[in-house]
Order: sequence, then structure tokens, then C-alpha cells
Amino acid sequence: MSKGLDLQSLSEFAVQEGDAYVALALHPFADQKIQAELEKLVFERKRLKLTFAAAPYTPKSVLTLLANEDDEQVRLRLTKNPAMPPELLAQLFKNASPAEIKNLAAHRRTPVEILEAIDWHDQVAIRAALCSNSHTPLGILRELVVDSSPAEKKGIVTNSNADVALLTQLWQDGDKFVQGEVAAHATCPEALREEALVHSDSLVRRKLAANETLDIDRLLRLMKDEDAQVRAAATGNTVLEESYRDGVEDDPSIRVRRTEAKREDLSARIIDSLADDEDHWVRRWVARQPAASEQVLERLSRDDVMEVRRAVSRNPNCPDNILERLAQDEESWVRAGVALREDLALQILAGLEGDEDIDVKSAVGRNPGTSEQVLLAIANHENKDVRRSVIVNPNVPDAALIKLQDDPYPLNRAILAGHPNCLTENLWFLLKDPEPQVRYTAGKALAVRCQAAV
Amino acid sequence: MKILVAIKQVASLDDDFEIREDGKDVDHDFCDYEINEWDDYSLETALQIRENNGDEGEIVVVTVGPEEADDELRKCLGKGADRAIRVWDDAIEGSDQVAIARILTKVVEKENPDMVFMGVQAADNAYAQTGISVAQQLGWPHAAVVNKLEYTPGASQATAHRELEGGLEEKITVNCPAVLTIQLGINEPRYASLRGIKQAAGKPLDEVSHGDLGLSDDEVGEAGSVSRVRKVFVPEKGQAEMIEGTPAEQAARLAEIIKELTGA
Repeated sequence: MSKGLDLQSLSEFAVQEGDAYVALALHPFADQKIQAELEKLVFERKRLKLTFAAAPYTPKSVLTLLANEDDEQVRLRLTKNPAMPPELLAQLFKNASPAEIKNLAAHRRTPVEILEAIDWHDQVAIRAALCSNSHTPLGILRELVVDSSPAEKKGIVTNSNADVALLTQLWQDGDKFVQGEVAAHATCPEALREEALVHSDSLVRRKLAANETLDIDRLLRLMKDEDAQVRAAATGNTVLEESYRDGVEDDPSIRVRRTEAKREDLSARIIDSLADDEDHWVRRWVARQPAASEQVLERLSRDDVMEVRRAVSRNPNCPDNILERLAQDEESWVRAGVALREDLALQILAGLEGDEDIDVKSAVGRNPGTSEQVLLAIANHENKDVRRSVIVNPNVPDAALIKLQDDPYPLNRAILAGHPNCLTENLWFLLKDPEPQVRYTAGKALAVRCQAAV
Repeated sequence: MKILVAIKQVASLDDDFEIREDGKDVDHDFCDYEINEWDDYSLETALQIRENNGDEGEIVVVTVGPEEADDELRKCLGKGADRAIRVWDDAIEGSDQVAIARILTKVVEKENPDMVFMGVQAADNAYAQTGISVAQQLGWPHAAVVNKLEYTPGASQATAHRELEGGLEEKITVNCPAVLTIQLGINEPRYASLRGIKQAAGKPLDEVSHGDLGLSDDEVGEAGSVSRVRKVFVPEKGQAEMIEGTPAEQAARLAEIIKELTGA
């Protein structure tokens, strides 16, 4: 078998092996003559046609051929395939069965003109599909909302095409869940925002508080809401800068303080205050803040809760002296956090290379600074998840990749086949893998390399 | 030491499938096939017993199924089983679990193993009867839903934990040889290495018919079965509607529904 990069050899291999999955991978790259040979394999059995019609990885060139098949089961699967191009969905609309039309009405890639052409009257399933499709145009939404069921209203209200009039109608006719979605909608009219602000149900106020188009004044009122979930939603709203969130760090609700700790725009003062919070989730989020000072990180690195120390180890600005100590932590999850850092000082990493814990071993396996000898040893580890870490290491030695192409765990071979680290030699080997997914991925990767080499 | 492990190639269904024209099964075009999950655990149990026995002993896998089932047998051989047996011919088509158990019983009698392991149930038909039926036909002790096993090859007894309702376990001893049906989670099944799969191509895979096992035509297939599949179908889903509005509107809608259902 040739180890070169040449599409002809690859195609001959697929035909010789009778491998429909490799043939599928090569089809879009081949010339017409070779494509005809590959198609014999791809369409050899009905089962394969059904599988490929439903598969999101099937290339457009094969989907195009399948769309011309006069087989209702194939067409039904194509209309559900998320990778179907809009023009093929439009083609399928001609002569579509009711089940296919329902799928087209729900498909996110169906062209708007097709959605507009669908007859949904007296068709419960098609109505429901259009109501839940986020691309359904406003004109159809207006018609659908008349006599719509509660479930259909819930679908319509989340559609970004809904305008003020439609949202107003939904607010009037809908339950609290529909009203909540109206309050969260970017196009929610002013009058309804005002109603939502004082709504008796906290769900509606919470949805309003999360609306990123809400004005500062209303957000500030919601920050004082009696319901902690509403205050938390307002606290997490990106519109509200820190100067408006005064005192949030002392809110009695941990839900509010956790939301605050997760924000990416915290000042050193707030970080310092939250670092002493009684809730360890708050401290965990603070420990990951890039703006946390060395003093805060030092304090949190000695926290009783292991997850807080782990969070410190993942902070991009954690200094070496703290990392050095955390690399000796009694909890392996913390040591693994240190070992995952690509910027880790080599002498700290070297100290972790002998660690036998599988989390640490996996982290060392991923680290680009790990020595070649250690990576080779990890590639031979008994644990399948530990071995996988070496595949994604940008400095993986060729010998480790050759070893891993024979890994008993199929997922490891599938990831190897799809990873840029994978050698051409690996890919040729994986073309004979027992798993179709691995063979397909290897075939596609080789075809891409062939094309790039031309 | 010899352990016989019975496996089955089971069907998993597509989202959209069609029933066969005779209405008794799903059209095979809409099925993918794989080894029954429970059987993976049974084989692993046997492999671990042999490893703990200094790799001494033989593991034989057997299935009743058409040629396509060879794929699963090859995988078992790739994991470390020594031999495989596939029993099939046209007369076996349509066998129920009792007829299948009759065939497996003949294989057990021929192979004379120290233990027989089977899955608790098959993922597709879910009868959960074949293993116990084999034990009954052999007249051997049995234990079902085993989730822990202590067995030393050559011992006259094995200790098994059985999974019961409500999180309870039952610890029992069974005289050997015995038939055990193995539960999911008893161990972590291994994957066949590529080298193992390649080597498996050279391992013996015997194909035998019901006649080779000394069974007559009326002991297999529909003739040898005690049950018949009459129909496989998708049950109609019930419909629910939330009736809203004023009491008068609700009453009007209710009257409409009653009229629709009664055809009045």
C-alpha cells in the first residue's frame, strides 16, 4: 500500500477494500471518473443510503446525489439532516410528503421563501415546527399566533423576528412563561418592560432583569428586588457596570454573590472582598479572576476547600512560587490543575512527571513542556483516558503517535485520526481500522492533505 | 477449566424505521447491529477469571445467528476468547427463547464447560429467559442478575451476589457447573486491540447447524417454539389537551371533544 499523498492511490484503496466510509470521505475530492467508482460503494446497500442521508458528516457532494433518490425514507432523513444545504432543502420541498414538509418547517437551514410557501393550515405538526423554528419570518408568525396553543406561543415568543405588535399580543394572551419570554426579548416594547418590572410573578421580573437591552434605571430597581433570583439576574447583566453594583458583594444571597464573582469585569477591591466570602463557590470563581492580586491568590491557595486551590492553579496570572507549592498539594485534582498549565516552569513540571495519579498523568500528557521520554511512557499507560492526553500534545513524538494508532480504545484512534498531529503514516494505518468513524476521518484527513499538496 | 459464554448480536433502531411487511419485526434496513451489552460483561467476567487463574483455561463463545453475527464473534476472539461457535441454518429462523435455549443446551452438552455465562437479557427482545431456560434444560444450578462473582476454576462451588429490587443484594452459593446470567456493571469490559482483532482472524470459528447438534426440525424454529410473535407495532400515543377559558368555554370545548371521539 502506498504511503504517499495521492488521491488516485487512496481511491484505489477504497475500491479494493470495498469500504463505503472511506469512499464517502474521498467523494468530494475526487474527479468525476473516480467519483463514479466511489458511488458504487457509497450507495451499495439501502442501509448505507439511510445512514449517510441522516449523518451530519456526509459531504455535500453525496447529499446532492441522495437528494435525487426517489426513496421516501432517504428523503425523510435528508430533511432532518442538520448539514443539508439550503438549496437542497428547497429542492426536496418539491413533491415533499407531509412528514418531509414537517421536517423542512423545523429545519434551521430551510430558505425563508420555502418556509413562506409551506401550507400549514390544519396541519398540527407543521404548525408546531414553524412555531419553534427561529427563522420563521414575521408574516407567518403573525398568522400562526392566531388560535395558537400555549406550547406554540412559547415557540413563537423566542423568535427574534417577533415585532412589538406580536409581542404585545403574546403578552396579553400568554401565561407567565410566555410573558417572561416577552420580557426577555430584545424587542420587548417599553410599556411591557414597565409592566414586567412590577409583575407579581418573580419569573417575569427575572427574565426582564436578564434582558441585555434593558436600561440602567430599571436594572437598578431590579437590583433591589426582594427575590434573590431577580437580583442575581440583574447582577449578571453585562449592561450593569461595577459602579452600579455597589454593595452586591455583601448581598445576603449566595446566588447573587456567586453571579457577581463570575463576572469578568471585577475590580481589585471587589475581588479582595469576595475572596473572604463564606461560600466556597464564590471563592472558586474569584480564584479564577485574572485581575486577582498575588495576595488574594496566596490567601486562596491555602483555602481548606480543594476546588478553591484548584481554581488558583488555573488562574492565568498565578505566580510560580504559589504554583510550586500547589504542585505538592495533597489533593491530586489541585496538582493536575498545575500540570495542565502550558506556561508552567519546567522545573515544576519535572516534579509532576513522576506523579502516578491519573488526573495528574493526563495533565502532564497534554503539557507541551513534558519531556519526550515521559510522553512515550504515558502513551503506554494502562488507562485509556491517560493515553489519549498524549495525542493532543503539540509536541507529541512520532513514536508515541505510532504506538497510539494501535490503541484498543476506539475513541482514542478516532481523535488521533482527526487531530492535526496525526502523521500521514498514521492515517494510512487507520484506513484499515475496524471502526467506520475512524476510517472515514482518516480518509478525509488524507484527502485534505492530498489536495493541499497539489 | 473451560467457560462457555453465550452472546447475541442485537439490533438497535434508527429514529425512523419501518416494520417488515409480515408485521412481525422491524425491517432490517433500519437496524444497526452490535453485541448485546450484557454479553460484553459476561465475556469480561470469563476473561478475568482466566487471567486470575494464570491464563490457564479455555473460553468458548457461542451464538445462535446468521452469518452477520460473525462480526461479534470475531470481536470476542479479538478480546481473548479462544474459540467461537455459530449455530445457524434456515430452519432456526423464527425460534423463540425456549428454542434458542434448546440449541444452546446442546452446545453446552457437547462442550462440557465448567461454567456457562450469559447476559441477563438481550437489549432488543428483552425476554431475560434464555439463560435460565438453558439451566432448566440442562438441570444445572443457576443464578440470575449476578453483579459480583467469586469463582476459582475447579472449585465445586461459586459465590455470587445477585442484584435485587430496592438496592438490595443477595449473596448465594451455587454448585458448579452452573449457568449464571451476568448483570451490567459487574466489571469494566475491555476493548479488543487491533492486534487482537487481526489475530482473531486466525482463531477457529465453527459453523454448525441444528442437525449437527442432534436436533430435529421440529425442535427449532417456529415448530420448536412455545410462543409466536403475532405483531410488532408502534402503539398509538395518547393525546392530551389543556382546556382553557371560562367555565362555559371549557364546557363547550369538552362537548366538542366528546362529539369528535364518539363521532356524534
